[in-house]
Order: sequence, then structure tokens, then C-alpha cells
Amino acid sequence: MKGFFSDLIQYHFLFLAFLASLFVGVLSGMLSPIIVSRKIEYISDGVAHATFAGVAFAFLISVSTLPVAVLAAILFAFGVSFFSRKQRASENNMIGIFLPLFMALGILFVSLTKGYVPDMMGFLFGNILLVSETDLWFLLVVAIAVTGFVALFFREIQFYAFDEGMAKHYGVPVAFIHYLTLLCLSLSVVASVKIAGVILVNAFLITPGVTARFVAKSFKQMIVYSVLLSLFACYFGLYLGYRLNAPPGTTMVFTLFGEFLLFYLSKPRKKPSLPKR
Amino acid sequence: MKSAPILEVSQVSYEKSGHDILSGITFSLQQGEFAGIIGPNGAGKSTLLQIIVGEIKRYTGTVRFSGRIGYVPQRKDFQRDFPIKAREVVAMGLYRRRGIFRFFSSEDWEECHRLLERVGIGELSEEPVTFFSGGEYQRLMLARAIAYHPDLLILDEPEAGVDEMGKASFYELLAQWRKERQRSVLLVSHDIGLVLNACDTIMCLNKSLHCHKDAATVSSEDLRSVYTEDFDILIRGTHHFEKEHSQ
Repeated sequence: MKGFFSDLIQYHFLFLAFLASLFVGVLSGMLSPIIVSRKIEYISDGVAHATFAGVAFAFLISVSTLPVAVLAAILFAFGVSFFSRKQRASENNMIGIFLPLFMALGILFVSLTKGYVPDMMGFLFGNILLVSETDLWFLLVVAIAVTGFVALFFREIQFYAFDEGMAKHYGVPVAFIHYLTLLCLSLSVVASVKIAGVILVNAFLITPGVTARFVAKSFKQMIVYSVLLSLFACYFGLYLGYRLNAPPGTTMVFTLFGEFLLFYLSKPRKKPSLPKR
Repeated sequence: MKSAPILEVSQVSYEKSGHDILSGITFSLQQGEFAGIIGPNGAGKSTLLQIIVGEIKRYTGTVRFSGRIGYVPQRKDFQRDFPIKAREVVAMGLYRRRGIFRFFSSEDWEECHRLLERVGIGELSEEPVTFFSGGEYQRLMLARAIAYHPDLLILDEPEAGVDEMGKASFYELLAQWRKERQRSVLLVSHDIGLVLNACDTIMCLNKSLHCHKDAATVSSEDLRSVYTEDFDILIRGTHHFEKEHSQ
């Protein structure tokens, strides 16, 4: 452990990875309970794949990948939502249509790109040790925005996640909250992709929320536990990756799964005794 | 009893995928009226309520209502595993009064607690709703609906999944609230005995409205008109109807 901390100070890339873990832990921990409660896990999976098309298009037209990836992610999330909220096709229908469409576009853009095509493997599986200062700034801004969103609209998010139909009936601006959630989700996926990659990023956005729900008695608790679980997984995973010389993204995912198993197996299955009436 | 109607439904029809779900529904509800809608599965009862509360928009005809509607939906809409305290569920009913960018005050929370006490589950105020029984859950939904200070309370099968004792005390609570506040109630139920006992007026619905009359005057022919071939099975299980209405 001592060697890990001294290397953190000594090696700039490791220090950047340390800070990136903090921001990813916070933003994924904050968003995960909303994604899990609203059952939009597949949208986040689709958004992650949509960023692939965005990055490939950025390579094709030789521009910075970040804004194009953000645009692709938002386009996917809002597109799925726009069509499914009209109730003529389900959310899963639209994800099933949009996800292969965006992947096909990504593959097409890669095949059309002339000359050197950067290694897409790093993008698909991520590498926290390659995080740049620009990536870190973007992560910081997204982490602050997501924290602000959750803090400012906590009650609205809670009502929307619990019972969207009735929340709308009682005057909660659910469409506004829904689209803000999708915006935060899209930004978070793009910001976290450098660390976990398209394939693994969903573990960060889903597992902490599911695990936290096993023990939380309120939505507030669920968010706090989710952030703590996510932060622990990020740091312990980073440390494990350092010790075992393994890709940190994978060790973070293993830690998240370990947390899930631990809480799943220790979750009380019986009805707790409610106060006597 | 006769005053200006608080709800007017006129020639409402609704079709889905080429099938008629509701056809030419017309009725009005008076201030303070307690009306029950009965009919077989697939008769369009819940759809009619969803049209009235505004959940379904693509229908023809008109629905006129001024005031607030408190709505207790079917239990299947409930997300069981979501960690939310009972008082927070009730607070949803107070949301419109508070609005966006404002936090609930301590007075709001006290009101939530009072409402839970009012429906007999005050001691569960701080408990997550995950492990609530069917009866406790329906009382919670009623507390949320009345927190909204509704002029009309709409309930969709509130007795589903609730035991006999729970049903009786729920209806007692409903009657008490209505008496105190002089508000109207529109109820959909499969329990014909309970509806005939509790409601002032009955609507027999099976895609179209077959009758809308005083509960005391509902005849076996009225029920037969909507339940058709299931009527004989139904009447065997409805002791109340046999006793009260067989002659």
C-alpha cells in the first residue's frame, strides 16, 4: 500500500487516474440509483455503444472526439426516449433498433476513415492510465453537474423514479426530469468511457445502485451508499490493478461485482417487523 | 342532492389497435355523489378512469371537470422494491402546492404524518413501503390522494389484494372522509356486493354504459346486461345481491 501511495505522488499519470476514480465514483454513484429505479439500464448500455459511432465519426472528419461523442450519446438517449414516450413503440423496441444502427454507423465510419485509424480497443475497454488533463476537467464538470442535478431536484427525482405516472398527475415535471436524467446519463457515459470503455462502463452505472438498494431504507440512503460503494470499487480496483499489474477497469468491475455478491448474500429475505398497530 | 355536476363525460369513445374499448360514454357526477362503476374484465372500466384523470389523451368526446382529482390507481403500478418512506409517498400529494425549487417544510411533513394517522397507519410514517401489506398500501395511497385536497376522488379497484377486514375498514374510512368533506367519489370495483352497499349510484359498463342509477334500484337485469353469460356464476357469489335484490 505504501508503494502505491508513493507512486501516486511520483507518477503524474497515476495521480490523474486517482483523481479520475474520485470523479467517476461520485458521478456513477449518484446516477446509478436513478437508472436502476427507473429501469433505464438498457438506455445507458445503448448510450455507451452510441459513443462508439460518435468517436468513429470524429476520426473520419478529423475533429476532437469528445464533443462528437457527447452529441452521439445525447442523440441516442433522446431519440429512444422521444419515440418510446409517444407509446407507439416500447423503450426496449427503440433501444433494439437504435443500438445496432449506431454500431453499424460506427463500423461504417471506421471503414471509411483513410489512413491511420487509432486503436479502437482502448476505446472499447478503456484505460484509466491514459486519462489526460482535458479528460479530467470534463469529468470534474460532469461530476459537479450530476451532483447539482441530484441535490437540486432530489424530491422530483425521487417521485419520478418511484411512480412516474402518479408523479405527473400530482404536478411533478416528469418530462423535464426525465430528459435532464438522460442528459446527465449521456455526459456521464462519455466522461467515464476513457476509464471503463464502452463495454464495461455500464458496470459503474448499474451495479452500485442495485447493491445499495439491498440495504437502503430511503432513496437518500440509496444514493449515499451507492456513491460510497462506487468510490470504494474505483479506489480498491485501481489499487488491485496496480498490485496485480492488471487493467484497472477490469479490477474495478470485479470489485463492484464482489460488493454486489456480498450484499446480495447478506440481504435479509424475510419481512422485517413493522411497528405494531 | 341535485346540484351542478362536477364531472361531465360526453360521448367518450376510445379505440386501440382497431378495437373499440369504450363507445359513446355519457354521464355526469354530482357534487358529493359516491358512484361505483361495475362491469366484467375488459369492459373498459380502468380505461374510462384513465381518460378522466388525463392519462389517456387520444379519445373522442369531451370530459369536463373543474377542480382537483385525487387518484388511487391499481396496485400493479406500485414499484415494490423502491426505498421510499410512507410519509414521502404522501408528500407527493402535496407537491403541486410546494412546486419546483422549494423544499418541503416541517409543516408539510407534519401534515403528511397527520394524514397517515388519519388513515390509521401513522406509526408506519418512517417505514419504507417495501413491506407494506395490501391493506396498508391502499391506506397509504388514500392518504396521498387526500393530501391533494381533491374535489373528486377516483379509485381503481382499491380492494384488490386486500382481505375482507381490510376492505371493510377501507370503505368505512372512505365514507367518513366523504361525509366530512362533502366530496365526490368515483370507484371501479369487481366486488359488486361492496359497491352496492357503499355507493349512492351505480354505473354498469361493458364498453358502453348500460345504466347509471341509484344503487337501491339496480336490478338483476341491469347486471345481466353487462355480465351476459357470466351473470349466473357472478350471482352465486354475490350473497348481498341475492338477499337485497332478488325480489
